[in-house]
Amino acid sequence: MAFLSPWLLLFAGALIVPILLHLTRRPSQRPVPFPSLLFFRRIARREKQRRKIQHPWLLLLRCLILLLLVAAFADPAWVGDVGALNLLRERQSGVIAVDVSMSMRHPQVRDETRRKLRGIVGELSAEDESAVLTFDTEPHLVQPWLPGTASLERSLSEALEPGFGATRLEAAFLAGGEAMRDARFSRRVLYVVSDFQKSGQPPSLNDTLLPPGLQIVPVDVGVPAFNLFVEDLRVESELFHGKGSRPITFRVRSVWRNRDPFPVKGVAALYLDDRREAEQPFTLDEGGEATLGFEPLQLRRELGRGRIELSSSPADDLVEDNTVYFILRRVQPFGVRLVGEPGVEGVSLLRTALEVGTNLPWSVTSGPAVGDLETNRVLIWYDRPAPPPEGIGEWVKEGGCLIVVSGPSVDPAAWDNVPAFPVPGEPVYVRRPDHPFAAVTGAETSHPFLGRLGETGIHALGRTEFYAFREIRPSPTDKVILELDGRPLLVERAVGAGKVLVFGSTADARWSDFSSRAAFVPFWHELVLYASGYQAEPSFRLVGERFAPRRSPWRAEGPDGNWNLQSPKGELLRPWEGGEDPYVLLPVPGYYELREKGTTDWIAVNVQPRESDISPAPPDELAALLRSPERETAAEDRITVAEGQSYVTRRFWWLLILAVLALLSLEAGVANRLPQVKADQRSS
Amino acid sequence: MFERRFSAGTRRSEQAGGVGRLDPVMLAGLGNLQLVARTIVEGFLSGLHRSPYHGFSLEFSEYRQYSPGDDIRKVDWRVYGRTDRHYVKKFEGETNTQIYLLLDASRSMGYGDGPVTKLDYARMLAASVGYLATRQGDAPGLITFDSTIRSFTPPKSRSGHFAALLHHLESTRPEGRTALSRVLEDFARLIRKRSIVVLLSDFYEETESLARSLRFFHFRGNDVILFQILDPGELEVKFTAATTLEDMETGETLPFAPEEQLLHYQRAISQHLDELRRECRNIYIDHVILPTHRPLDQALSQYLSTRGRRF
Repeated sequence: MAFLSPWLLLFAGALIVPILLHLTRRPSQRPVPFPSLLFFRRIARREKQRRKIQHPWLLLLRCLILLLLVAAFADPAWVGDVGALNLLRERQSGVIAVDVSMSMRHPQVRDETRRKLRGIVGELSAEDESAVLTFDTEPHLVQPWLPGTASLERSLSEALEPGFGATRLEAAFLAGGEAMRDARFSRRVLYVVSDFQKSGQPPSLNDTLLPPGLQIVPVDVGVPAFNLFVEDLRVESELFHGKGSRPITFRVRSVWRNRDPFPVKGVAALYLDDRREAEQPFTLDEGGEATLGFEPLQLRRELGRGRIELSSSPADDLVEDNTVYFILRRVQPFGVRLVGEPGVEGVSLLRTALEVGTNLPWSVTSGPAVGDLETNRVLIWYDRPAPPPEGIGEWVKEGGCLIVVSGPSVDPAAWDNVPAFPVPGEPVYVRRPDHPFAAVTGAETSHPFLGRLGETGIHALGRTEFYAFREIRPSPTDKVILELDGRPLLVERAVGAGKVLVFGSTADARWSDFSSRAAFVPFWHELVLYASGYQAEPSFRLVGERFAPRRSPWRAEGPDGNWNLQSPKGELLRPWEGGEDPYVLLPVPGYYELREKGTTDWIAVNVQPRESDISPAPPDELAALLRSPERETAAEDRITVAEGQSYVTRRFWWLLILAVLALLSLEAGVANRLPQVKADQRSS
Repeated sequence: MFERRFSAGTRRSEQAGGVGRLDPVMLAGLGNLQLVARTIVEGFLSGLHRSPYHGFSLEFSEYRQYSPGDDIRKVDWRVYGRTDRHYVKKFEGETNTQIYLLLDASRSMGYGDGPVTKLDYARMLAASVGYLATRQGDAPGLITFDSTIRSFTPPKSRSGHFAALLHHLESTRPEGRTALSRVLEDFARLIRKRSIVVLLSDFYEETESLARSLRFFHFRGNDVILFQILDPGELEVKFTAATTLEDMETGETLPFAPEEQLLHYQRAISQHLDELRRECRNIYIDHVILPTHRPLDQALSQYLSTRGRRF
């Protein structure tokens, strides 16, 4: 039980009033009439002060009335489930799952959480058993099954420290359901304490993972609030050419939870290495969105730590997401060598395509010779009659990448002698009267290269007209990425640490109109990136992600574990080596210092933007999610969800008022029946 | 001889059960003063009839014993049949005594611890005496007073006079202070012939001055009866805690501490009553102390005794 207005209990001090009255009130000194004072002897008046309390039990009754009245005004409430009132309920196994995502850091949400957790503990008995887990994107067991409530409060106090993770409600249900498998009692209750953000709600839930007969009690601790945050931050982290960054764009959003929207004015300030570089004022109307941008930044050093800070009027309720962090670093581009005859149209077109764009992670050279392989990552062998020299094969085995573009000059017989590479076969000239070209008819969309190209690129590729092509002869272990009229067009072969990609057509306009298609440039860009194995370092990561440093940017090799990460709070995070590759879970937003083999690098981590959207999910959506109409079970096996705000505060001030009225009637009746304390006090 | 026999008979009639019908509280509940008076008188007389000495009342009300020389036709043979004695009915002309009822209506008479105040009691007694006098052919008159004579109804024996007398009694309210001696002096100027004076008061006055005034009445040949009407709480004060008392007539207040004043009061009032009784005895005035809880037949007996001495 709790008092919703506890400050009014201070008026209980007024109890001193009836006590003082009883002690200090003197009987009326009204004179008693007598026929004649003729026969009385004159004496001096003497005052006597009564100290004795008259009718102490009547005083107690009046004090009780006053106490009940004060308690009624202090608005007492029973905080708990309706079932808590049933003292005869059977023993239960209860799991308390507490949301510790970032949105739970709201001060009033924390207070509400504490209050309702107290209510949950209050309804449990010594015969029940309980377990406690917390969850954000992943569940964490805080307390295994223990009887009674003695350790529960301590466990819950530990659980009251929300982190910065995003909400994944599914984690609570699945972990709670899993824990229930070890429950002792048949009455099983899962308390889910959360603000039930819409962004954290799963689109569906496989309720077969939940045990039968489970009762789920949603405990909503959300409060009316307003939040301002940054989402969709676009900043290119690695700068390959020049000293400046690309323009930075982002979106500022405001979200209201159970409040009417209002205009918001604010400023977004850009910092680089703690130096304020620029600011952008913004005004959000009731729609709550604005897209902003900053001009490119000039990096003064090889690495810069940037951030965008939001301030607004009125200020929002959740400040943890008002700052977003990112890293800028200057990186040397890798080399792409285009080997082909000068003046060949396809070579020129291909080089032009590879040089289109800004901040490309490669630099292109071209010529008839291979050149210095040490400085190049990707070698494009354009329409050469013979395969590359033997040294290229060794180079590929060590991690290099060879892209073979097969044109009219290729001599298939010469390629037969080099079994290391897929052989571009005889040319095929498409001479059909109905449609004199071939088209891409098959694409391995699960291939990483096509994944990078995207559906738009694949569709554009599909509209390309190929008039002639080389029919490639892949081995059984080769991957066919694209097919042209049912025949391999793009084939990949892994060779040692590297790979060979053979493309069965040219880049010029004779064998296809590919060079005039919009997909031409992105195709070659993505193919080079895929071939190189290059992975760009993101400008920032998200809280809750698994982080592991790459050995090199050229391939996603697993690190050897000889590294550590210092969090923004100064905490040293060592990699967990329980899986294939050691990793660290990123707990908080900010800058992390990566230390590996004497080198230092930085990463930036931000709160997941979806967690900043505090919009609530309608309660019936959760209930509908958890009730599966397909599940045909007996009534006692069915999973039940307490309807709406079932965990409510039941106020009973009216009960106390009724008690006061009843006691007042009793007091009036009893006081009237008492013998009157007459001043003369005649004996009966 | 009459007195002794009457006194004995009166006491016997009290014991014979006539008391319950004359209980003041019960009578006060009747409301109508005429009814009260009739109830008291009839009850008193019937009580006398039931006494072993029945017939006495007859001697003192409407009959006297036959004396040689009385007209034999005046003998009431019905009475003879009941009593085996010869009684001669008195005629109005034989009596016609003036009865003055002096009723103290000062504020102190309004005191009463129970349902019957002293004035109520005095009213009932006055009405009863008036009724009895009227029935006997006497002429009752009424004087109410406090520090002065407030009202004067001359004695008459006409029919309807008793009703007027009752009206005055009923309208009397306790007001003002007592000045009994002065009132008696003023009253003395109103009496022309020998009468029976019935004084109903609490007699809260100096005994000496009161006795002086009473002597004056007695020496002029009037028969005086003093009915001293007191509340039982005045005779025996039962206050147990300290308080403040207020004189009902003067408004004077006095702190009261039982441990210091109770004993003195009891002695003082007893002394006052003794002195008054002694003074009255010295001048042959009947003095009856009537606590308001006592039945009224004793008073009536005393009245009749006084009345009877005249004949």
